[in-house]
This record gives sequence, structure tokens and C-alpha cells, in this order.
Amino acid sequence: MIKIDIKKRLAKDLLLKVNRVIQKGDFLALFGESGAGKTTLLRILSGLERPDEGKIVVEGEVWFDSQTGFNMPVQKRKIGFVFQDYTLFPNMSVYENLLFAKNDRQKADFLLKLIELDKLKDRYPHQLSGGQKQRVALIRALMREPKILFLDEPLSALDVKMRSKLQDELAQIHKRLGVTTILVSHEISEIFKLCNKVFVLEKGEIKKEASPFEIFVEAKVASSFKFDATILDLKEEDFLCVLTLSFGSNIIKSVIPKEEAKELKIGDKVLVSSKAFNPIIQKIEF
Amino acid sequence: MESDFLETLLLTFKLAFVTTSILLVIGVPISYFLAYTKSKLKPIFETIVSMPLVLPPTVLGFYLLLFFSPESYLGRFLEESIGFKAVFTFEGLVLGSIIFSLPFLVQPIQSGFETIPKSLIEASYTLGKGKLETFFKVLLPNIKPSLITGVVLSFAHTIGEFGVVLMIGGNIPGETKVASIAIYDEVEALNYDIANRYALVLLSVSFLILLIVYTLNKKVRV
Amino acid sequence: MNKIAAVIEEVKSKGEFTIVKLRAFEDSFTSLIVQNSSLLPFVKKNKKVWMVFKESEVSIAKGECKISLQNRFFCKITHIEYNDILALITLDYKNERVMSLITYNALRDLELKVGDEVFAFVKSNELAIMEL
Repeated sequence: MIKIDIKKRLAKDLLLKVNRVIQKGDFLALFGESGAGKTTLLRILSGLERPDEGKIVVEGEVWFDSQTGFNMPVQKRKIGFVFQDYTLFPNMSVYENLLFAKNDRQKADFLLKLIELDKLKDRYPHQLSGGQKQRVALIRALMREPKILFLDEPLSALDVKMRSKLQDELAQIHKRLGVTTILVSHEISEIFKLCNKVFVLEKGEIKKEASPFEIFVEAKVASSFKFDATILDLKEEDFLCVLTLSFGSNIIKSVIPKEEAKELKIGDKVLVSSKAFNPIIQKIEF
Repeated sequence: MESDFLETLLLTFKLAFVTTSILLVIGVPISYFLAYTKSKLKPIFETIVSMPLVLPPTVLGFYLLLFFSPESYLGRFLEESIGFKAVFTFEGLVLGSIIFSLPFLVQPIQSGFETIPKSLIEASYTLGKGKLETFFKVLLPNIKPSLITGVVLSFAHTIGEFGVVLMIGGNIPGETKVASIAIYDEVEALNYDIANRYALVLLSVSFLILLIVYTLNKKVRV
Repeated sequence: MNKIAAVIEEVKSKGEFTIVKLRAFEDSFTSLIVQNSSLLPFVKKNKKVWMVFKESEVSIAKGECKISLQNRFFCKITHIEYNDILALITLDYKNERVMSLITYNALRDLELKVGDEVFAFVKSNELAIMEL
């Protein structure tokens, strides 16, 4: 069990204030707009940043306590951290990267087999694809048998197909090793696939704590057809605006009044919803 | 004549070698400090280190001469306490060259450190590695091209330095007479022949050194 | 997207379907949802919610007519924009703005113009409910 009760001022009008408990084995998502404090919370828990005040206790072990002035350095905390930008050491081969974390060949071999990359162990990072790099970074973070695994938007730099594959792999690894994992993500579908709990952060505070289902499905709109999409194109036609949207590997079009499109721009994330009756369903014949 | 020629060349390379070695030891920590310091005084430190880039060498030489001359307080103190004489000695030349070549070593290495993503260092920390281990196993190996560039530039620059050397070293054969001074000397004495030999050696050495750097750097980058 | 505030008057569920009766001003509305109401925490009697529906799902009738549509409300046309194919009609419903997207042919057939008083219709299954 992880007990967090911390405060940190991020800006004049932004105070990160978190008082929560995370259960052992949880796969937790930190969800919210950018600037809400998700990454900072992750960095505070991992020890890369120091909170202004409060206490962090992980499985009975104090990691931070402002009252006694104790701050366990990041090196001493048993954690794994996967960054957005791969962070494999370019001067070391895949195998050396793993052994740098912990000189345990058996463990390295086991983890490489787990993600089926054992054939690439002598390659250098620049010889790997983005997806391969991030998978190596993931198992490198697991080498020291962390108490908490931190994932800071680890899949955001990858294409849709690779992302989906890695999500499956992450889910599997979590199921197998049961490491308490905290993920920062913007992708609702990703959170659905991986997490059993979501903290919704708004302006530094956790506004909601529930399962992904409760947060994303039942809330807001009572309509059955719902997904998050990205605006690829906005085309104005007289008083209307035709939106081209992508979700997953699909592209769809939708029409809204021009006036409503004023606050939208290419690249924006939008929630697309429709009543359950609308879609026309046809069996796909192969 | 022949032994004179060899002696001068040898002294030149000895000076470059000693200077670069010492520079490496003090310059890398300075580069590291400049790359990662959050101090408000950083621009001041950077300015001091880079001064020799814009300063005429004679100015630097002049001040060194002033500060370290046996008549000055510092010069007398150094001579009496540790027997260090800066003026018209090889040690003095080394000191002058270190100060004068410092930016040539520090700047490439500092920018090398600066191009390493912060997350790479943090990744090492999250894997349980301390600052020192991260420095030697992650940072240094990944700025190899910058290290090579810094070392070679300061080496080559020391070989070619003239003004500072002339000011504080003078022209004592076997002690402070280096190739660049010798060339000037021989030309003055209208010995174009010998001047030419010195010049040719410096030219080919410079060419070779730069060639090696660029070849190595290309290999490292791939 | 049209949005009108309303109060839930009645919620009736059967299996996967829920029918919600709402009231906005003096008019009553119904919304049909494919989900049991137990999974819809904010769909409760007396709760204030938004009724949400697309412009293209708003039909317009001039004069009196009998029709199966439950959601009928009386409006005044305040603005019309059109091209060769489509027409976007802005309606005033008790000071709430509602928009309707119909074909240009329909606009011409009904001879709609600004100031006309008309009935607007929305099918129950096109009316979504959103947390206020």
C-alpha cells in the first residue's frame, strides 16, 4: 500500500495537493489536462522532485517526510521509471543497458524472453525501432524488481499499431509480475485497456477516483456510442463545418455548424458520441 | 642545428601534451559545472572561461607576467613557498597555455553535456546510480565526440600559440623556445630554410590531427 | 449541438432500455437510452440535466399536424442561412437558441422565412441526456 499526502506549489495559482492511497498491485492512471500536475506527481513519488511538504509511505517504508526532513534519494527508492523519450543509454547494447540497472544475467534473459527481444540483445539503441527501444526501456525498469513502476506517457511517441501492441504487452507483464504501476496518459482507450483505477487531476487536485468504466462511460453523456478522436481536418462550407476525425486507425467525417467549430482546431482531441440507435451495422464478409 | 630543431619540436609537443592533460583534468569538471549549474552567476563564469577567445594573447601574457613576476607579491610568494617560478620557465608556459586554451576544451565539452537529454541522466538515477557513476558510465561515454574535439582543439591550439608564450616564456632554447617562436626567430634571421621546416611540421601535424578528429567523430556518430 | 436545460420527471427501465421523461418550460420531452438506468448515475428523478441533440435531427413543421414524434416544441424562426443544398435555421424556443439543419428543398416547400412560428421535432432516440 502506498500512502501519499503531499503538497507542492507549481505556480502562483497552482498548488498540487494529493492525499490518497494506492493499493499494492494497482494499475493506476493519472488522467487530466496538461498542466494539471500529473507528471509532477509522478516525479515526486519517484524522488526526482521534492514536495514542499507532506509524507510518502510505501509498503510501510517512509520515502518522504517533511516533518523529520527525511527525503529518500531517488537512487535508494526501489522504482522503475519509463520516460516518454526512450532514454536507453546509447553507449551500451541492449544487454548492457539491462545489466547496468542490475547485474543479473538470469533476470535480463528472462525479461528479454518475456518481450521476445532476446535475439536483439547485442544491438545498440540506434539499431532499434521506437517500439523496440521503449520495450527495452520497460524491462530495464523492471530489472531491479521495483515496488512501483512509473510510466510517463511511455507510448505517446509511437504509432497507433505499435502502441496497441505495447499496451497488450504492458497488460500482460502487469498480470504476470503484479508490479504496482502508475501511468500518465491522455488516451482513454489506453487507460481502459490497462488500468483498474483512475485519478482525474484538475488544477493540481484529484477530482475523482474511480474505475475507468465509471469515469469514462457512465459519466457525462448518456449515449451509448462514444470514443475520443483527434481532429485531422476542418473544412468550412458556408454555414457548416465538415470535420475529419481519426480514432484508432479509422477516419470518419462529421458535420457541425460553423459557429460551433470556432473553438476547435486541427489536432484537438474531441469526444465523439452518438445515440445507440444511429449507427448502421452490417456484417463484414471476408 | 639539427638537435636544436628536434629539441624545439619536442618541447612544443611536450608543452601541448602536458597542457592538454592538465586541462582535461580541470576542464571536464568545469564543463560539467557550467552545463548543469542553475547559479545566476553562470554567465559570469562562462565569460571568464571564454575571455581568452577574444583577448589578444599579448594582453593575457602581459597580465601573467605582471602577476607572476618575482617582483610581484604573488610571484614572490609562489617562489618562496613552493619554488614555482612562472616567468621564463616551462612551468610558466604550461600555466599560460592552460588559461589560454581553456575555452577550446571547455566549450565543446560543455555543449556536449548540454545535448544529453536530462531524462537520460534521470533514467540512470532511477536505476539506482549515483551522480559519480552516472558521470563516468553514462555522461562521459556519450559525449565522446565532444571530448575528442575539445582535447584536439586545445592540443592544436597550444602548439600554435605565440603571443602568450612570447610574453611570459621568452625564447630560451630547451626551456621555453617552442616552434611558433622559432619560426618567427628564424624568419627574423632570414633563415627561411629552417623556418620552412618548422612550418611544414606544424602544418602537417595540424592537418593530421584534424583529419583524425573528423574521421573519429564520424565513426562515433554512426 | 443543441442544448436545452430540463428536469427529469420520470425514469423507466426495462433490461437494456431506459425511457426518460423530461420537462423544459411547459413542454414535455422523452429520451430513449440503450442502457439500464442503474448504470446512469445522473439520470434520476428531479435532477436537472441538459437535453442534447444534433441540428440535423431537428425537423420543422408549419401549422398543425399529427405525428408520432413525442418531442415537439413551438419556436419562432430568427435566422436562416442556406445554399443550394442545405439550410441552417435558427429558432428561438423561449429565449433558448435551437438550430435545425434541413434541405434547401424543404425550406422552399415550406416557404419558411424569418419570423414564422413553427413546431420543431426531435425523435426520442436522438435526444441525449448530459450531466449539467
